[in-house]
Amino acid sequence: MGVEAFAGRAIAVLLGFGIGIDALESIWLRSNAASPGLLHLERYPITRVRFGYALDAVQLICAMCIITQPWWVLTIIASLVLVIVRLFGRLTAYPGRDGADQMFVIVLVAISLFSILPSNTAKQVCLLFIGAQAILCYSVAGLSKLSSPAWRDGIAVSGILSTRIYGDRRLFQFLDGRPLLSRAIGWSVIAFECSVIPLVFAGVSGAILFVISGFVFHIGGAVVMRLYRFFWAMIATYPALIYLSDFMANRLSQHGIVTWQALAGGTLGLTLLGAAVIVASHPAKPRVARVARVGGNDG
Amino acid sequence: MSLSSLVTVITVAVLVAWLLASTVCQIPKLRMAHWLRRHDRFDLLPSWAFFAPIPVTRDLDLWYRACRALGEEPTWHRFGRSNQQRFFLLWNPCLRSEQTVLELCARVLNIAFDDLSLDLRQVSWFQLLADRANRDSGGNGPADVQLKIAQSSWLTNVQESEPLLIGPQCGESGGA
Repeated sequence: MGVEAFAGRAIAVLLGFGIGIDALESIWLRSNAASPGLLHLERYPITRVRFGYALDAVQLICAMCIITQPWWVLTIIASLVLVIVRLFGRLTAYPGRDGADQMFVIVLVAISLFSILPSNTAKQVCLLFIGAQAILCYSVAGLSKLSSPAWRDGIAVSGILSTRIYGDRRLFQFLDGRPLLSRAIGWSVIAFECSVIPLVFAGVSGAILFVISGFVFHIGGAVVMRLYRFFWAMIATYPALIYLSDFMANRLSQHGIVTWQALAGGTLGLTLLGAAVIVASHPAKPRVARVARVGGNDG
Repeated sequence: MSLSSLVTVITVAVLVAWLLASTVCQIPKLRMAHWLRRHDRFDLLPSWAFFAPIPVTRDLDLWYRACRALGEEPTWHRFGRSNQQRFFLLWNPCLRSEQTVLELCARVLNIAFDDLSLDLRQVSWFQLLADRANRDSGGNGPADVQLKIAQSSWLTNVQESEPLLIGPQCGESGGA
């Protein structure tokens, strides 16, 4: 199995788990009369009940096909069906989606193209696209936190933990009288997310270091903040991140454009410079938030 | 150019365009970003600024009361919060519905704060909340319930949570 095929398989399996669990949860919610909340706010009544069950069941079956890959034709069909169902869901359902859903669709479309297209160049491009989206995701997340006085002061960490939806009561009480620790946690999150470009461009070792850190970070997010879907959505991109790192290091050194050390140093320097500019251009005192953004797009 | 090469070129072009559009959309001040999002019917352009720059630091609770009771003050009921069933990394079915409540309440509040004289019953997000609350209360229609959005956290007693918005009373069509 070539490197591309291995990476594609790994991505498909991880993605399949995430989508499969998501579909199971949706089926449970539809069937549980006592379930609270506003799930399945479909625009069209037909999609609310029976059709909704069918869509969830189709997603579950397709996810299992992608995980097990019993036959390549079946895998391709399952990928395409999942793409159609997920996009249809975006037309028919109201808010409640988050960044994990967006990443699911991005990876799903790219890995579907990966499965369908025979050309090795096309497969490489699909993997590089997933890796690039992951880099964009972490960079933007880190820089937006860096620009926030609430995150730099540690208020954001204790504030998020104070909520019932994303927080943990015991952890919040532990951090409540420890502002320095809250600040340290906030900065470690910022540093981790902003380090994606320097580490990935530092070669495979740097990429693996980032992936291990990311694994720990997202497990923490899943345990403390219940953001399970983010765990599956983001680790599904990690094989592509490592592939992108290896690709860049090999290609650049092959053509003698620049050594990987220079590239790593350059990206680290640019990241630090950019961080300094962002911190300097945003006020020290946090503004009072009117209503916070949860994530995802404002329609 | 062979068919395979053509398909490869098209694939590369589409993915590069998607990546560029995703990058542009991370900068909300750009006019191009607004234009792209307005035409993004399938929500393919992601927003990667999680919990930033303004993090979520309070819960938004949705309360409702039915208007059917005559001669007595109907009591407020909080829209159900789950028992937080979860199993490590594998099972958390109620989080999505709670996120939906949070996001819809946040949207309604932002709209209400922008225009205090606005008739909230004309706002689609408010109608959704009212419709769902009405179904929970067994009412005859969304106008049969009055809504309240309050904020809370681990620090506050849920029953004493601070109301941020109280919707029009039953039968009224006025603003918040």
